[in-house]
Amino acid sequence: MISADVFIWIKALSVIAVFSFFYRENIAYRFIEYTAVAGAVGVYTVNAIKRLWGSGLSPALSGDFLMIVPVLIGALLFFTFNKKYKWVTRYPLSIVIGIGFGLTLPVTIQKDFIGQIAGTILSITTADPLKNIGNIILITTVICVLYYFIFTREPSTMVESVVRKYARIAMMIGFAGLFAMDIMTRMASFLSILQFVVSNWLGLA
Amino acid sequence: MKEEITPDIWTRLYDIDHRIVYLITIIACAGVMIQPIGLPVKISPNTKTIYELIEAMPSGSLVHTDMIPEPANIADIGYGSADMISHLFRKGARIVFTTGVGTHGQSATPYGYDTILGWADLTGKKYGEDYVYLGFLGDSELAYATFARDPKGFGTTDYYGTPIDELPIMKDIKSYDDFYITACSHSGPELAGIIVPLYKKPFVTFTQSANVLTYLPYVPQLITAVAGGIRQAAEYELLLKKPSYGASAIDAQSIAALVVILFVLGGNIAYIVKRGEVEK
Repeated sequence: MISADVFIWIKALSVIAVFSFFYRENIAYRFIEYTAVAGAVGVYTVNAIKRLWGSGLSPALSGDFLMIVPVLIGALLFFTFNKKYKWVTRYPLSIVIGIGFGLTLPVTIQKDFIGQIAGTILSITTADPLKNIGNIILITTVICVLYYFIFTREPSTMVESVVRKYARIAMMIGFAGLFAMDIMTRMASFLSILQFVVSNWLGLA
Repeated sequence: MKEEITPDIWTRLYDIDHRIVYLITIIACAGVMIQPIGLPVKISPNTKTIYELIEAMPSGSLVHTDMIPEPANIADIGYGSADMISHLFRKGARIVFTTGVGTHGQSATPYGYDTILGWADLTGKKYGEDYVYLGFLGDSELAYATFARDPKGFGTTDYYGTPIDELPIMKDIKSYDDFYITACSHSGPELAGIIVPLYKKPFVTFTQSANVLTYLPYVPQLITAVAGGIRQAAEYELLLKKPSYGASAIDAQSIAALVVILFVLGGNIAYIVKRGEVEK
């Protein structure tokens, strides 16, 4: 049975307004779009103020005066709006970039470099023949794709051409997988809304 | 007089109006929602690993759950995450929720937490004792590192302004070592990169389908297991023997995928046929 809840009706009509974009852009779609953007900006602003108050200003007013220091350093970023004193923003930026870089560099080297190399060193003599085949394909593909990005010389031999072709096909398969998974993510959002329309609003399922 | 040429089926398919594609997709998906067909679901190793890790967890264990879903991907991430959180609670876990690094980390506070906990089973669970929400940590790895070093001293209050010292769950936390597992919603290598090398905790995450392939290279060195999307939410519900949204939506998603494949195939065949005709 169709819902009698006013809020479900408001949500359902908003959904229809958004779906109307499938037909063509219109004022109803634009109204919902602007409302969503305005709402998101509002939430973001309130959260930022709340965070600033909770972690900086409130402790500072309660006696922990040191907490005002990071707030003041952050506030220096507003000098970006003044042409004469714009250079002041370099100080907070250098602190943020310095700390961020120092902290993420070892982590990045570990997870994206050493970790990935370690993950590619696999046994090809396990008891499971299927696993061995999988590991051989993985190792071969990694080597071929890495070779593909060596641009210092023109591929001249037949083997080089085969390796590059294999690498290109492997990358295309990878990109296709990413694209397909992305479609599934968008589809999940669409299905969730459709489920709401079919079940909660129309009461058909 | 000019003779009117009737377009053949391939030309019609090639020039199909995109609105017809949308309409067919909507009708196909809605039809399956009204009349489910019950397609079989095979449980994948990653989903099983998450389930078994939580199943083996001692009752009363502390769990850190960082969640960064946003409105655009909540449907893909949320249901699986809610299933995982329900499972954690069923096994007697005490959970510390945070919202962390992410493009929309701050704007997603407390959206992801509110939505996912709204879908999870919280029967008999009390805020402050069984779970707590500390809010947004900060939009950089620095925030994660600071939180991991001192989860209790990171902030003075929870998200709702209650002082940390007044929350019973926080009394048992001295360092990140007190957590048994990190079970996240959408958070991935950024957090795992900070937590796992230092604290050697199992790290599992439920993310969106689009992210599964980008997280997989970190499995198992950094991330113990990654699951994502409606598909793996359905798998998790099967393992829990509690079918919910994932199980009901998987039919529709399979049909939607089938419709997309058929249109891609049809479009390509029409293109090849038309190209052949032009070459002739």
